Amino acid sequence: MSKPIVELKNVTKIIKGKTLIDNLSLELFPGQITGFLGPNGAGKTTTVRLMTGLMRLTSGTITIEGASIADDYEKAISNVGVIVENPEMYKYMSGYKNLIHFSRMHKDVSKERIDEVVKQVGLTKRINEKVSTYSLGMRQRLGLAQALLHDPKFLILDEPTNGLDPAGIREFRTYLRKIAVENNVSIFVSSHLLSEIELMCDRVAVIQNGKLIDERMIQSDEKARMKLKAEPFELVENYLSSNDYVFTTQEGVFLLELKEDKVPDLINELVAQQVQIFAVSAVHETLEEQFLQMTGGGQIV
Amino acid sequence: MFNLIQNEWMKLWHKKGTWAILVILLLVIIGVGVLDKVFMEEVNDSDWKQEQQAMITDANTQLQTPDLDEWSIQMYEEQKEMAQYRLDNNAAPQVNQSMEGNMAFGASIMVLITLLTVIPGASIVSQEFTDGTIKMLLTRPVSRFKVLTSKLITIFLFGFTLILVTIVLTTVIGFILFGTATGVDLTIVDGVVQQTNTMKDIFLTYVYSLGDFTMSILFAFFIGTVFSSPSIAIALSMLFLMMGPMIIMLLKKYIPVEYIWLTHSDLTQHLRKEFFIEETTLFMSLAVLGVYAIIFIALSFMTFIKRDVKA
Repeated sequence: MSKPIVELKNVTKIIKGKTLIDNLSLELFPGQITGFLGPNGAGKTTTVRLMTGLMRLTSGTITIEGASIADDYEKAISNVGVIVENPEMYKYMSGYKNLIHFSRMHKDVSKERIDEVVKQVGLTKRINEKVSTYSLGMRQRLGLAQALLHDPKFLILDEPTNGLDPAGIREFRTYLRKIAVENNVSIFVSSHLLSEIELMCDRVAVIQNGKLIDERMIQSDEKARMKLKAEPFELVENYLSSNDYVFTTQEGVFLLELKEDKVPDLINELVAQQVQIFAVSAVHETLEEQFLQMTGGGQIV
Repeated sequence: MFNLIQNEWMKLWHKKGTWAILVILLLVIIGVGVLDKVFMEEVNDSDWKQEQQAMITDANTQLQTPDLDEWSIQMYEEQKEMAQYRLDNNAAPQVNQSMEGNMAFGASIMVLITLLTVIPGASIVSQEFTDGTIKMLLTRPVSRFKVLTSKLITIFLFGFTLILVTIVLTTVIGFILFGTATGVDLTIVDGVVQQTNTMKDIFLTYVYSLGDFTMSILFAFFIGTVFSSPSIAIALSMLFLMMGPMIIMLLKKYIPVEYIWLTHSDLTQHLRKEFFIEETTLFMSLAVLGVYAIIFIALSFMTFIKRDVKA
């Protein structure tokens, strides 16, 4: 894995004696989309606010491309594009004027770049209308446009698909994947939609009560599981246990830990023993199930 | 920094409220000018001379009154002297219905200009918080210090724009409606009647009114930054601006009010030589105002730079 672009080390935030973020450490890498999951009030938005300098750290450090957010703010934030919660834009101005406004706060954002971003997020037709006339989905697109203006190396998105229609979400996902791969951008997405995170992210970090309780890659095939339906039941059971397979049974179906490339061997051997095989299928553990494991069945979102 | 001020200026003029402020100012200036024209009395030579003669006669009559107090005696004596001066020098009295008169009116509405500047001054920071746009504004490679400085500069630019509009408009309207003045204003200095320089008076009124203007804007800006609520900030600043003298009168009994900015912010006291509490030097007033200005600015910046943004 390449060098991390963002590093959070022992990040702690205490407000009025209440510990909102407790000793959180996390690294984010270029080209990778990291999902950030947690129940309401777990500290997702607080973490985002700390990473963007909206809130001050009580202790710990956050560095972005080697620049500390606390000591070298302007340098650190210049590589970051952000949407914190809903993208609140200046409603009394047009979308275009909003982008002009934000472009003036960055170095080297040309008019051509603004037009390019507007085209990318699909707002060309309505960009000269006042933001107050925009739908939530359009505001979300404008929010993404302002976050992308300065070609950031690190993108922070808080609930980005909120208000987008299914087609929009799909388009959005493809787009994020594209900039992650092509521009090597590191993307940090906080969301309460587990399925969203599962489809969008390479990696997921889970926060609960201000603590990072788990981080893992999504869809790793190390622990592939197979579902096997075969008869006679006893014969199969005996064969599996005598050959050291790890398995459980459930309503006449075997659930065994088995990598994909070992499946043909098992089938051949079972067939040789006159076993009738009705079905063999891979079991995908959904993120939701993984989460229930991680949090001991507690509520995630 | 120029970019940031450009941004603030753009946002300011995209709000309907800003245009409403400008319209109010224009209506007052044009309205008063037009009303003055409509109700203008034709002044001709014989009229004012008769008037002055009448004033002398009246003063003489009054002075005959037994047991007249010293103050009244002085008043009638001065009235007599000035009227005599006008008759001797053929100097007609100044009237409101002249270009100079209209310009003086412009200087007299500095309180209104201040009031109209205080509104955006109180909301330029706080509205970013209530709209939630503050988080978009502060997650940029620009320090909070620069962001706040650009807002403060923009508000003063706005205020000065209103002053400029007022000066230009009162002059132009005055000239179009009434033409240049024919009369003169008189004043008595050390017992000698003198003609006053109207232009200089107007200029000084504008300059001395900057005391209230500056302090009110800084106060509104400070309250708006600390409380991040436009309504509280506007209400409090208006209260202090309008009720300033009353508040001082109430506090006078309990604390030494000469160290409160409200006692000094109306610098025209020094121009009129009529003091609100007791006579002070211009230096003393400026020193008190300077200290409070620094306090307001420092507190605004400290809270804005340190605060955790949760909006």
